[in-house]
Amino acid sequence: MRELLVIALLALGGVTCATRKAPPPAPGTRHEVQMRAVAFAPKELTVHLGDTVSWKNVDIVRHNALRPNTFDTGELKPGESHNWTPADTGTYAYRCTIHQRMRGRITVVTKQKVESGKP
Amino acid sequence: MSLRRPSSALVVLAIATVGALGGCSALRPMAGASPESSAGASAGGAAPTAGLTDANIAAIVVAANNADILYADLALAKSQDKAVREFATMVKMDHQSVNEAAVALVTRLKVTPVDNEISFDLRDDAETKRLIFRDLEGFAFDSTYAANEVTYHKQVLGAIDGALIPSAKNAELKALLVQVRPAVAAHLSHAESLASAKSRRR
Repeated sequence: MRELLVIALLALGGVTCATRKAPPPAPGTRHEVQMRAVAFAPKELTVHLGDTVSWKNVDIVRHNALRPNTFDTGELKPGESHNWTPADTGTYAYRCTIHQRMRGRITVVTKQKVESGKP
Repeated sequence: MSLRRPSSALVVLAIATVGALGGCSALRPMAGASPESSAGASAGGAAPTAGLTDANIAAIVVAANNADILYADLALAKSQDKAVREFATMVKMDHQSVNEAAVALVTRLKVTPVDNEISFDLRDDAETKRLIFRDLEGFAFDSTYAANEVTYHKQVLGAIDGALIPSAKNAELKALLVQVRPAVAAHLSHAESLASAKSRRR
């Protein structure tokens, strides 16, 4: 009987979770931006203050990601990666200086703003 | 005639010569392919592609990369134009990366590149164009180089889509070619912008 109750509660929990929007990842989460096919993927990313953004080059050519005075991955060979933990909120447009059309944007918000949906 | 400010006729002649040489290449687009095809579209297949082995494809990849590295080296040695130098730096770096990946792959697969009509033609074309570029200066060089980069990348993209990927038998070699394609398409798009800017200035 107790087992049936546990299953019912778990099932109810599953239904509840399925109908709600997935919560944003907790602060301190690592987000990966892949450099692939001469593009950043995802091109745009919203993270919490305290999260880490990791650029990983999975392309066949070298790339970098540069936002002057904010972050600079340096030249990343295929397979290499670089982490950045933002210190301030804001929107940071950045680019690969090797491939001029390869651009991305990271928006850094506080946890409350992400949860309220008002970045 | 000033070397720094060549006449329009000289620039047109140089571009036409390089373009005509490009048309002689083994990587020329197939008949019917649009000459205006851009980065997103295939320019068609290569001519003598029947029976290409993986060893042939490896030799073509290396020869194609080396040809554009040679053009980039010339641009970096001769051009003072910031946009041309940035483009040349990018393509040189990218082609070196592709060569490194290709050599690492064929070494691991124990495939020895085997030259063929296409790889020989690529080398011959590169040497012929090098001699043309060598005698050009300033705007004449920059505009001819940009036009050649458009022709070259259209041909390479056409060859990747029409011959190399379909012919590759080893899955890893095929995957490498698929992975190379976006970089070649990006180069073509960039080269078209560069050539367009140069033609507007003429």
